[in-house]
Amino acid sequence: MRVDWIRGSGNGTVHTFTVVRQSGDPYFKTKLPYAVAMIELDEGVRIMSNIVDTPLEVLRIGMSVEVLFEAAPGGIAIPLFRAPGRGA
Amino acid sequence: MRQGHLSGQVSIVGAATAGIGWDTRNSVSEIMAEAANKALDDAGLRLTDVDGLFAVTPYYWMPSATLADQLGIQPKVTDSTNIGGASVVAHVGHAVRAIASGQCEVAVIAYASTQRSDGGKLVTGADVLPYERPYGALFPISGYAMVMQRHMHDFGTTREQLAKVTVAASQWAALNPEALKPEPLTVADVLASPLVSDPLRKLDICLVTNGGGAIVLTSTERAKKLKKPAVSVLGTGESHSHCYVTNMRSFTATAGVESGKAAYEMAGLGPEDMDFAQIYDAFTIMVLLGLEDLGFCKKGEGGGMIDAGIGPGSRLPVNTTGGGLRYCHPGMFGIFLLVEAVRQLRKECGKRQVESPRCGLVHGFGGVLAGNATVILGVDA
Repeated sequence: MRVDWIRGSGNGTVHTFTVVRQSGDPYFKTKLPYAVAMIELDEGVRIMSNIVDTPLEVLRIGMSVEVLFEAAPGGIAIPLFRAPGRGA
Repeated sequence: MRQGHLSGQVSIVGAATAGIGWDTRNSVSEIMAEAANKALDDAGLRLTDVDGLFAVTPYYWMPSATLADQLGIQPKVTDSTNIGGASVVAHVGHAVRAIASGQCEVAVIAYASTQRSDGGKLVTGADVLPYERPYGALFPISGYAMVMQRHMHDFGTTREQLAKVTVAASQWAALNPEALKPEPLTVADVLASPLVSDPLRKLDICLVTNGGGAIVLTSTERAKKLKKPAVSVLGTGESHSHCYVTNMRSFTATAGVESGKAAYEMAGLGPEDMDFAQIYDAFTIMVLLGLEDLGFCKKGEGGGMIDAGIGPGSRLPVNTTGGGLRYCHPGMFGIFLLVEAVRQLRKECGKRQVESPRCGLVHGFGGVLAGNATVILGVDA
């Protein structure tokens, strides 16, 4: 398989999702409840992510989402998603 | 390649469970060995007859070698293929080919786990991708929750229909003296149980218990000289469509389509010929997908088939032990599907006995619908 880097638009739709209500993990326990989703990027690939800054009640399969990045230890940034128009 | 010439060449001649329960002082290898010895007794064979060893468990680096140490044997054929809960179901196909080609004569397939005593959580060697780890998905619960969500969206499958899988399991468990949760459950009970990962609730999820099991296989020719009726392996199939959730091409269909097709083709049979089905049920949605992908109904019609009934007295009895949901669930459940299929075909099942079964289907899933293996078993009428 030939793989290339391309610039993504950062936009996608929710292919499927779940809201995690319980966790034994000391870090994720502090985040409950939170949404885990499979995001279908407009470029045609699917990735796992969290949907943040968005009320859990409005989550739907097929809804549009846009990327935001959260800085993480080690100088990396983690892609997260939210409903459009909810940016600061 | 079709493997019809292998159909019926090899039979299961022994089957046993061991150590099913909430507490144990035994190690995993001790429970595997106990199950293997009980299955050999059941077959009327001895440990010295065994020259093929198949084992899997998340506990050991080399499960078949660990079991061989415990049993004190040196096999000619060894196999610890791990495709999660589908592993031992896949091992049946591997054993059939090893025995039919003369590589070994008597094969033991075994599994055990003490996950209940070791913290009460699923014990798994599953690795998590760096592209999944930061997001806190519960493995494998959130993966199955996302499958459930998408199936409900695409096909209008309801929460009530999925709850009925647990209700049917509870009805079977009530008839099974080995079942650890024989109490009756209603749809309302399932829907009132706590959400774990939407839309999946606690009673959509299997038990966490200890236990193990084993089966013994040999050529059907040799099987005819043994004490119990031979249960012939008519068809086998295996596949995996992905390992990680990120690489799932579909959230509503599984590689059970392909493993099932291979097994049906080898057997020269179809879903309409099956008198029961044992489909791995770590989560309620797995049974629904199994019914669809193994051709018992069309894609999207699993909910309707569950409405029509999969419990005692139904047209297609499914998971006649009570399954991973209500019988026991020491992790990779495949061995218990196989043991029950053997017991049903030998008519050893007492109150939960299916009426005069001639053929039955076993389907194992592993990981988040990743590993798939199907076995079709039959007895002479």
